[in-house]
Amino acid sequence: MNERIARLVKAARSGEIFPERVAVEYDGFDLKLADPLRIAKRLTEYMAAQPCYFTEDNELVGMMHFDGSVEAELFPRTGHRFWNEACSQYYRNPRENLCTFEWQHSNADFGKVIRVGLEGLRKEIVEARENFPADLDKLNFLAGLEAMIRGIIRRARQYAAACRKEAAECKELQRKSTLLRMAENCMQVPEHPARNFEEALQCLYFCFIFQPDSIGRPDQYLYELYRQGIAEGSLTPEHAKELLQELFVMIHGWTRFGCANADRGAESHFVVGGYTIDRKCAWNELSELILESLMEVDLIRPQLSLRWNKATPRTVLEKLLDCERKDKNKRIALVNDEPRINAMLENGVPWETAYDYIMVGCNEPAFQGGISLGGNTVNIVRCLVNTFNGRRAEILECREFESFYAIFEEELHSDLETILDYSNRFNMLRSRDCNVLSSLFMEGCIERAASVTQGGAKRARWCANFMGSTNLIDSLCIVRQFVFEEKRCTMEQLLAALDADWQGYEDLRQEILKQGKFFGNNDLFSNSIARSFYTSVHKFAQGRSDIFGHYLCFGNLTGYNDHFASYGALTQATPDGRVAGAPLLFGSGQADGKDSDGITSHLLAVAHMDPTGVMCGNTIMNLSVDENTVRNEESFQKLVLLIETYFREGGLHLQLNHVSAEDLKAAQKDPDKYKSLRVRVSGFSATFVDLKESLQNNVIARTVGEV
Amino acid sequence: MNSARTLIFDIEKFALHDGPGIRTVVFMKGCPLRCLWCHNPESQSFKAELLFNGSRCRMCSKCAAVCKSACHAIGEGKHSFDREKCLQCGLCTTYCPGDALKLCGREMSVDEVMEEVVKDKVFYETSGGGITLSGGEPLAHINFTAELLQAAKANLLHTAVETCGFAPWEHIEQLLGSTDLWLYDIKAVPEKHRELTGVSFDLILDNLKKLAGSGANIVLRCPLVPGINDEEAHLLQIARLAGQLKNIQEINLEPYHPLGESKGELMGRCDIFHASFASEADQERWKKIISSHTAIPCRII
Repeated sequence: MNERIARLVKAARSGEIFPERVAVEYDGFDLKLADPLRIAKRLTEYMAAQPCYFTEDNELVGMMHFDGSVEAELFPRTGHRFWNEACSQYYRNPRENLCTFEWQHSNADFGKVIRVGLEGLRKEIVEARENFPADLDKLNFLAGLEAMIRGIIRRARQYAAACRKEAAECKELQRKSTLLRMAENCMQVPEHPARNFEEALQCLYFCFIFQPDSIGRPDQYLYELYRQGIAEGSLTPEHAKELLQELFVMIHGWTRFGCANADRGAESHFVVGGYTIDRKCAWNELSELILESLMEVDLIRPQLSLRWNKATPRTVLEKLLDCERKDKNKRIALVNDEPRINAMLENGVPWETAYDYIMVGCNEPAFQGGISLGGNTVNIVRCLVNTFNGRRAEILECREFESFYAIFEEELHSDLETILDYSNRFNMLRSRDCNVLSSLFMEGCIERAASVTQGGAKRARWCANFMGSTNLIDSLCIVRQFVFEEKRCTMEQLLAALDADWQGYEDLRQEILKQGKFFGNNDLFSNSIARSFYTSVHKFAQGRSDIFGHYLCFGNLTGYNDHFASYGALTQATPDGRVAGAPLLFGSGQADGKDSDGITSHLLAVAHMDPTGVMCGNTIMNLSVDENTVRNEESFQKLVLLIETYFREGGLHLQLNHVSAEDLKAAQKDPDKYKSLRVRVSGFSATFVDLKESLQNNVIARTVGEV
Repeated sequence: MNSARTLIFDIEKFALHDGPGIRTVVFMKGCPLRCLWCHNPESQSFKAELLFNGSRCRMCSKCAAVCKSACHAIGEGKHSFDREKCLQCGLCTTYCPGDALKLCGREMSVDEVMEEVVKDKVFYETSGGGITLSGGEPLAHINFTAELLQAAKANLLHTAVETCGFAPWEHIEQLLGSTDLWLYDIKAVPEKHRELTGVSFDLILDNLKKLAGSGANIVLRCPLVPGINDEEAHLLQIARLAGQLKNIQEINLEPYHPLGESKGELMGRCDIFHASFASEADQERWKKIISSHTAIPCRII
């Protein structure tokens, strides 16, 4: 990292690169215009009023923020009145302790605008107009998009003029020539196609603010111009790295310094690797350079996932994991193409779209130029609670687990139906908003002459995110084991214990915690319950779609908010030994020491849990490993193989936690919560909480000492 | 169908330092040696044992209520556990809410062990790993060990045996065809061997020579305790053996750590061995001495 970038990084980290917003008084003459035209006009006026922001360290320009006075970017939903109204009712405000909306991510097709320029989009608009000769609404929308293009180009020229002015006043020859080049770049992009890597980066930098979310697959859509620049000798890897780093600085700094999410990385998440359209490994020298560029800058955003697949060389996985272990900002995660792309293909997504998927937000799959609909967080335990309480007379009659499960499945499907209803209502309410800015960059909005908020995006996905799947699977395991198979208690006794929140039934609870068969141990019993549950979810999803016609998928994820805790707070005791009010588990894995058979069993149980692919939505799998495994070279090599095997077996996602000294100290204070935490003492591992205190302290000391 | 059964005290998955690749280590309970520094003291006895961690006891008295031989007495904030009376039935452990009581040692058949081991077969295949038999002393469970190794081979697994070498040569010989790698302990110089481990070095050395002569792959494993067995004479002995014998792949030095001290307390032992951690400087010194006398690779694990 050179000094210029170091200064920019410092400015981004201290919040200095967040330009002030200038409020605009719209003249009101436009009130009678159709929405798209009024919005485009006001956005144009707003942009024109903003200062052209750059410092003497910038070679790329365009940083700006919208202020909510008019419908602007889609992801932060700036100025979207109906959406914001819906969110005020629904965001962080679960209905029936069952579901709530949290976010919606999307991705502009930056690759396309780099390739064809806004002039290419304008051609598409002209063509689309032919399709709707008598539809005034659609013609108005297309006119709004076209007006928006003019507004954006005007803004780019404003920057060009500002760079030229700065150049005229600049005494330093090298900076003067850089400023003149910057001015030229702004005249070329985004209006026209980018002709070289630097113009492509300027285009990406400039357009990011129109949809400030994922940057998609930059190692793919920038590769051609990168290779061309290197081959011609007009670009060096060092210069490419500088440009990439300057882009990352802007992405980091775009999130307002000091705001609630400023410390989190999911504001922008992109991918490297994956497949090419001809089914080869897509990892290339630019992927490597992007990773290297990211690692050098001490920023929290953007974060990155490797798209692993069967064509990914082991050396690439190793390189990613090596960066992961060294990245104190924890920006790197891993996803597996194989189950996800298979599920897309089975649901009718063509390979030409599926191969090009990306990750956005925390861990949502989306397509380039597409939107990830849903963002609904779900309390999946509620259907079990409903089974116990609403169907009590029927379940007390059950003589075998299968009849109990059939009743449970009805309740599950009923809850899933309710969740879909809420999501549809929410999306309909929001479809009253019109967006002409982000829609420009979303595939399908021009062709369909429809705002992305109104179902314009062709490459959309719908998903709901479960919290408590593992509590649910474990609870089903206990019902089957304790009530129906081993007959350790009757259904009456179990229900009485749950009603009493285990008061007076502590013996039963302890017996469950000690003798229960829980998910995550790769035994036939719990594996089969998990597979039954996810198959039931799939049964619901099959043949159904959301209101815009997208197939349904699900996942195990929590976002920025702790819905797993708020749902849990209102959820009664569950058969897995959970007490009333305790948080639900999140993610696909096990916790609380119930995964007593070790890391390999845990990973295989998760990799094999869903035979249907219905869970290929927004999903995380957290894997905790102790720091010594990650640091010791021989152990690390084996960790790489462990993870590769997990992916080969179908695991969808993985992010690593190396146990920190802080965690170890917390484990000392509260050993019950850390029963499965293993540490490597020297040539072998031991359960940390079972070591005597002095040895625990030694492990902690070594953990700290080796950082 | 395999008929042998023995007492297993742990099956450790994702073991990383007991042979190549990702491995599962099967720990058998019972060992003929009594090494002063033993880090698995619960592995010594051939019987099941109850581990009691007083600091985790919640004084709930559930153990006392269910115990058939009245081993547990709780009162005045103290839990007394009478080991003499304990029948190792393990009933109390299923009622203990704080995991203060744990039963160490479970009788398992070869088939039961293999069922657990083959679950990780995909990991062995990717990483070139397999199964490692450890203990305790696997050679002291010879019928079980022989059947388990054959079962592992029938499943095409890489096999390793971690042994102290103190067993009749016939027992070792019997396993030659089914063992891919021997992790063979060298613990002390002959003069101090009985004092530190409870047995003489002669048989161990003799077996090692025969094993090397048979063409088996061997890694020498050397637990080193500062001030106890890390004198130069022992380090030279290790280097000399590695240099003279055929088929020594590697020397592994295992620096002392006091894990056994915490375990010993859980077992109610008062003869707990104390020593200090091996310092980085100690470890470097050991490695330097050995490496300057033999070209066989030497690693600290």
